Amino acid sequence: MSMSGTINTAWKNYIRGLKRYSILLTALILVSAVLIMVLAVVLGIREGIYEKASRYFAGNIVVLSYSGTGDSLIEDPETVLKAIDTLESSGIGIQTVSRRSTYYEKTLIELFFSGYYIKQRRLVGVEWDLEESILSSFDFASGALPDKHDEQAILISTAAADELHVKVGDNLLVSIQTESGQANTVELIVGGIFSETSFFGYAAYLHRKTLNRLRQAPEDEIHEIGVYLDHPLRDQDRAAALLSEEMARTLPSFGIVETREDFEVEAHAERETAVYGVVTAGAQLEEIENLLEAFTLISILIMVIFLMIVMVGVSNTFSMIVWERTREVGTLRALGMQRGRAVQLFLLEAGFLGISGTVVGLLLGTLILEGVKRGVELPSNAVTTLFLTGGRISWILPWWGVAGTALLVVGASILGSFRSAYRAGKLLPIEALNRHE
Amino acid sequence: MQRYCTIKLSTSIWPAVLRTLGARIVLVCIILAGTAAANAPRLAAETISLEEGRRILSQVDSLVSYEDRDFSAEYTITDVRPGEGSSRTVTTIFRRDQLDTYTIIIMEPEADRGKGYLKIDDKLWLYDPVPRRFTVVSAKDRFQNTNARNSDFTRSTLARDYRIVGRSVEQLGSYKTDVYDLEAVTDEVTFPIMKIWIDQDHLVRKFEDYSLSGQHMRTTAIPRYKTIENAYVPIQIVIQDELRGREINGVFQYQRTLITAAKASFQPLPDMVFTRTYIERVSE
Repeated sequence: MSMSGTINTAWKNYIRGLKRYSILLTALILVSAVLIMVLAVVLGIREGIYEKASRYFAGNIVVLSYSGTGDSLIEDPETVLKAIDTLESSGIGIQTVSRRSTYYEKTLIELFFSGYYIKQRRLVGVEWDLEESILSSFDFASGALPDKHDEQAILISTAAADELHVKVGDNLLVSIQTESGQANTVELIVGGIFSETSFFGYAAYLHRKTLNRLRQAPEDEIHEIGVYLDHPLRDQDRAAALLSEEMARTLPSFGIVETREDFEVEAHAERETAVYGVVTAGAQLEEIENLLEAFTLISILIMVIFLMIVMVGVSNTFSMIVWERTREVGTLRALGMQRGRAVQLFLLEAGFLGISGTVVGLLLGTLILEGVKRGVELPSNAVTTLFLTGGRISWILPWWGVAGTALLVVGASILGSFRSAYRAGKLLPIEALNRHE
Repeated sequence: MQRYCTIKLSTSIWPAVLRTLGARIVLVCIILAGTAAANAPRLAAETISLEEGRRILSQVDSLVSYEDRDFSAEYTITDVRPGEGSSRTVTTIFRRDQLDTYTIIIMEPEADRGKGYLKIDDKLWLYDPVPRRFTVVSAKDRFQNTNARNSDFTRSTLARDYRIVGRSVEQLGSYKTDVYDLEAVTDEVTFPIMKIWIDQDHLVRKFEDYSLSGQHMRTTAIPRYKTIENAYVPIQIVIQDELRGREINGVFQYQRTLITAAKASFQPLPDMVFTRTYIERVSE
């Protein structure tokens, strides 16, 4: 029997035995669907948080410069920007660059409106035009990104807007303490309110010059220069390494910061001159990354246990099938079928079972994911909005996710049937034909 | 938005001690209302020399700074947040102005009992008895989340920190006052612009704090002083936050902090009082 004949026979046997496979097939469909959903949601959440974090921390990779005060100040922005330009010649796509000033002092930043007030963790001074493509991806509950030269506008989160009872167009008073500790204020117009009540919602965005004036610092002062990459998750580490290497040629450098602890050490290390370095959004998100990884690992562990149970089920079912088809196998063997072909016949049948489970599971999983995404808007609170995009669960299913799930499910099915298939291959034709049911 | 100064003394949340101060609080309201009333009759502003200004401010400082003796008192700080209720903090304050040092022990509320502040050299320490740890805080921070600042409990240093840039005369309730516009000469003060109302006894009756950009941040009224051993002790202070408040029944009410001082004394204090060990022991 040729290979195509074996495949054909295995397919016919599979279709003929579908009724017997129904429970196993259902289990495989469920396993595939759950695996697909867990993977897609974790990847979706990860990308969503990564996008928010990159927007919050000034880019996918960010250049900082410390001289021991704990605050970054880029004294030579031109050299840093030249180093960033070299990334594109290395094949790394750049979406845009940010030049920001930031004010981070959670006890001293307050927003006031009509007697209501709220503290903020961070004021972010941006150039609206430079980061237009990034900031416009805010999920605006009302308003929009201000005009590029608008130095009177401020973007606040729904968390702040709800507390302040403020609307787009209202005058908001921003109060901070300057570097020397003096109270200073500025009245700005709410240009947009973005949906965010998580950790990332306690930041307000205003023009860099406005923030510098409020801080009583030179208008053009820059604290961090960020790079938004075309493929951040893929290129982040390579881009950080290349940028760090390029900057080290002309500027004193402390390299790449890998963790938040390293970040704190570099920020406060005593130095005689400003030293430059690169931090990735991934390093800033270390704790959240760890949480997601732990969640993914637990999910995979549960799925592996479930797959092993399915494998036992496949094994038992195929033991029965081989027993029932002993005479049939004997006949085929008597007609010249090789041992290996007999084994292949059963393994292929198990493979069809696994493939069917994966395909239907994939369809079911993606249908459920899309249904939940479109139909379920979760209530926003500090925890949920951290993991949601626009109040909804977002999901991503890359090709390797589908391939990996298929490999696992089909592999489990084939592995489960292997013992029985091997036994069928070992049967002598005469012995098989003599066996009575 | 039209804003008024109103305090409802009959509200059940008000402690009895405040109701007894009712009449005086009404007086304070009149003073604070003057904040908005920039239209009050006032003589034309005039400028004064740097030396003359320093002399005036030094005189004001000297009346409420006790350089030659120790000072202690019990302060009751009542923070009133319209629509949110009120909170009461009782503290004991020990000052040694000669060394620019002070100790504050919090007695009430129960949750904060045993917390203490110690100002020595240029550092202000806050002791938390739960983790038994001292941390450095800023004198510019709010005191126990009230409208008072930690620096409000130290000696007066107007002459050191400000210069007079304008002067006028104003009738403030029953007080005829000189009104001075002050500008900070150091960046170490929280409010770089101030306006103070000085009565004929050279006592500060009211002051307004402004941000660098000129935003009115806080108004403080001092309606009552007590003379003890030939020294003036402010025994009633009302601080109004000009940015925080709520509109209740169509009337805007600002957040206020009322500070009353009792048991004021100029008895010498042991050196031990101004040490970290003392705060730790008291908190045990």
